Amino acid sequence: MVAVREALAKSVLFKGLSDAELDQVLPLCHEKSYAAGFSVISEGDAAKDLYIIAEGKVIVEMNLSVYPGMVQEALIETVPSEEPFGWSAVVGSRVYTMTARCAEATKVIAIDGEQLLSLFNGSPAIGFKVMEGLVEVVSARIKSVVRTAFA
Amino acid sequence: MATIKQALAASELFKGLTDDDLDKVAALGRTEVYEKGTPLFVQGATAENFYVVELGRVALSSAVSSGAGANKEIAVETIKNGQSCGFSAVKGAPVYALSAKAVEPVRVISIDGKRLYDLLRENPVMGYRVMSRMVASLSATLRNVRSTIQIFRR
Repeated sequence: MVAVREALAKSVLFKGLSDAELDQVLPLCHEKSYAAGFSVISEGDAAKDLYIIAEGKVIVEMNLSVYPGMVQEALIETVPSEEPFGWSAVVGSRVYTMTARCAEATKVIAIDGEQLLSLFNGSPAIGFKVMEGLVEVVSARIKSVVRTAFA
Repeated sequence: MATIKQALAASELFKGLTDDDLDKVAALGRTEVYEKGTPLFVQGATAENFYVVELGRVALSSAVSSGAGANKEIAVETIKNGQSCGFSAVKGAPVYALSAKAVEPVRVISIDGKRLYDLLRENPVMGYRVMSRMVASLSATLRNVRSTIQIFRR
């Protein structure tokens, strides 16, 4: 669990938590390893876990409506180490809105969404810090998408 | 006309807050009216205020280079009554990621982003709830931006 703790402490979402707060998140985590090309989550599946990339990187693919009634799968972006994906497990519809495929051998930390939400409800200070981190992540991705596509 | 507190209570971000919490947020807000075509904020400008739309529609857009040094605006999302924009002012970045313009006469609640952030941080029960809803709203915008780009690239 030392490696999981270190990866969490370095991650964008959890780096603001105190040692005592990290101790409460740790039991909800388990580590998973994937070879290049494998999907960690698939668009449309029930969103069970929130993921943090401990090592490696992940490619995000989505089905996008390009015209009414016409859907196209698109490679969206690469998510690097220490960043999260699959936050539908703790926000919104609880259905994954994208597919995440490993670009190389990748190690992720899976955090049970239901248990994490229970922790947030019992300890809203932790919930605030993690959601604050997610606001930063999503805002940065909007800026990045706009900058690269519309430059 | 609804009071600021009533408008906030009907918004996606602040609905369901306690009376006391709504009072605290309402104390930071002021009502502003924008005529059709008037910008609320411009992409790249210093992000100071966060907006809750009380009445009307606001278009979010991004500047796109169309060659020969010319730029045009591409609409990525239209928000309406009860929805919010300008999240960069609360948390995330020093400048606005997109532009926002009134597509019809619009009445909004304008809130100083820094003061709202401090209030949310000092009140974590409310802070967690509001931040969680901000993530949901921003995620919807992210998806719309991605869809717009796909269409633009075709």
